[in-house]
Amino acid sequence: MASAGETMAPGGPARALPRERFWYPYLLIAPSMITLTVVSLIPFIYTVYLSFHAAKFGRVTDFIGFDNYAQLLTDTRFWNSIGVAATFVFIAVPIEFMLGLAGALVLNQNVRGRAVLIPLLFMPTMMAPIVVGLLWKIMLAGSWGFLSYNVLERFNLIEGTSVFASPDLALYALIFVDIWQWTPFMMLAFFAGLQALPLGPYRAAAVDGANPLQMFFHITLPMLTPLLVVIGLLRFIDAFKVFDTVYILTGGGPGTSTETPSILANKMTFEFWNIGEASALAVLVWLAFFAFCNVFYQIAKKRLNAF
Amino acid sequence: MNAALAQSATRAAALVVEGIGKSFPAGKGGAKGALRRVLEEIGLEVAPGEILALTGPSGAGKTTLCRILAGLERPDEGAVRLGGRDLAGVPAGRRAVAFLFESYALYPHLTVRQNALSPLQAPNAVGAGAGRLDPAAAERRVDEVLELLEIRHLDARLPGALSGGQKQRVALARTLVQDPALFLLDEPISHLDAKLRHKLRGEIRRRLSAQPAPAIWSTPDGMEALSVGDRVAVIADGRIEQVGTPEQIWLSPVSTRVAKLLGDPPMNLVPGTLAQEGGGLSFTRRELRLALPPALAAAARRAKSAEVVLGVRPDALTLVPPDAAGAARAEIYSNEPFGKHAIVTLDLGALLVKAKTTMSLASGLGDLAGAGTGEGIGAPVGLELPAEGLVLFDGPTGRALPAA
Repeated sequence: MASAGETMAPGGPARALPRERFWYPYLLIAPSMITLTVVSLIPFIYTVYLSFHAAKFGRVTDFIGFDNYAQLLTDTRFWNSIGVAATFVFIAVPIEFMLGLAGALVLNQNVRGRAVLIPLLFMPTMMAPIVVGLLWKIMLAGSWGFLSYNVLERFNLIEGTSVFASPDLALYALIFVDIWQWTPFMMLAFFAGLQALPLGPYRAAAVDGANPLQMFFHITLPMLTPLLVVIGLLRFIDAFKVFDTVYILTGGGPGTSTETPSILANKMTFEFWNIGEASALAVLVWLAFFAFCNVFYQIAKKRLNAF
Repeated sequence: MNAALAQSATRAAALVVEGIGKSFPAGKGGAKGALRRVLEEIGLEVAPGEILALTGPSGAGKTTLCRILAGLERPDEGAVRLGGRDLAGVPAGRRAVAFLFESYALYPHLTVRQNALSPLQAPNAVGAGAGRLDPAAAERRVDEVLELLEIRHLDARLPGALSGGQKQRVALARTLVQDPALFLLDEPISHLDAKLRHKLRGEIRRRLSAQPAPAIWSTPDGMEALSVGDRVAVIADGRIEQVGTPEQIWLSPVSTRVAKLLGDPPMNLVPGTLAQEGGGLSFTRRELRLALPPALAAAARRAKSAEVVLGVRPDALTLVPPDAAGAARAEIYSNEPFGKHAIVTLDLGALLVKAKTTMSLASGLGDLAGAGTGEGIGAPVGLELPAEGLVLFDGPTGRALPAA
């Protein structure tokens, strides 16, 4: 649309454009719009449609209004999944954030061999999530897992069982894997931000006698805030929707102790064949994030000069 | 801030720079490990309350020198002393320096007012010399400086919303609110519009002169240097070419380099040869011929080479009719009418010479050049050299004669 506006600007909107010139900008954005419509918009609308219908065992039948939603909201398993995701997100993301920022600050100190270090550090994030899942399954799987056998069992930390089989520990093991997987991403994003900061203010602060800690809190942090907010938000949303590593490592178990909304929706669809309720779950999660992001955006815009 | 420097900020102390040298890695294109010499044997002294204008073409090393004095760069050799105290081990934050950065270096997340206030709230605040100003006094001082620089109405804006000239004035404000032990102003008014530049040049000079601290004012504009400096240091290719009062620099530049840098337009440099003529010496270039006045002739006798360069200020040249006796023939190459005076560029046979004259095409110049030639371009005129205000330079070295 913007390009359409620019194309029309010189002559002014009042003057009629030749037909082909009018359609030209739309032609240019058509490929991406068609792709988005087919793979994103239509499935989404269909999901909303399904959530208002009785759709079980692969058959879409009657319109039932908000029944799917009502059932979902009274289901303890749904609330459990929200609780699991909240625990996951509020432990994993702050730790990834802190470790990432600390790592970025260290990288920014002209560490020797940085060019070699960065690709190595980035490896966990570059791996396919399924591979990350399988890798940690092999590392931590009970008495035959590489880490679990050599560390956890040898020092009698956990005996006779896998951490993924413990209702108390499985979620924390998943959090650990998520931190392992995503801290490098945070670190590199923050490092790129640090590299882009202007040097001038640091020189001015050096002349004014600021120490490294004051420079960090009074210069680095305020200048980096917009990036921190955006990356933090993206990671927050992404972590809430976590699926693949959980699917591989615990499948949501033991019981429902690691069942995130994504895992629950998957089970509802492909195990219980209740597509209507699963769709309602998907729509609810989307709505929650839509509202959250909008509120967050407004606050960030006003308070933090972000965006 | 330690006690010794707190005192030095109030008790005026001279800045002494001795034998500073600095190299940087040559970077792209250079061999690995190769160094590029940016400063060589820099020696300067600035008295308390004195303003030393540092001028030279861009890339001459002005900014590097300022950064070494501030403690942001370490010199490879040489010493910086402030009030007799060697600053070698003193970090930038403990030198009590007010540094105006050419790139402004404003804090992007702070408003104009907060930026101007920042040095007074800084850990090593040198606001009142002996210690920190109380907040109300600091605010008053900031108000006064913002008013002076005509940016008080912008005080709630962030630097991102300012123009280049406005940013530079915020940087100026941040410097001028301080009572430091040393002022370093790196091109402080280069991005201001001409009107404001003229106004602020005087205002800033007045303020700096009232302060006990020595000040260094760097600028690529030679005329600005002559107008603001109690003394002027000319730097070229990392070396100090000449240090002196504006009069010394203007009247007797020590080299063609200094001569080329100063003046609007700068001094004309006319290569020629010395020849014995009767009892005296004369300067000749083709048909241009000048019997040297006694003082200049005495200097010229010490020349090692007969090849010399005659320096003559554009306003000392006189335009006469082309057939006048003793005048060199030239053609008008271009003509810039300024209203009050004109700058006429003359083609002197493979050499362009600029003359600053009060004649215009309408009065005098038109008659000289002959009517009906449009701008007068291409018209023949005569050029007379004055007997005074000339400088002779040695041809091969470009050093002034006498090399005393």
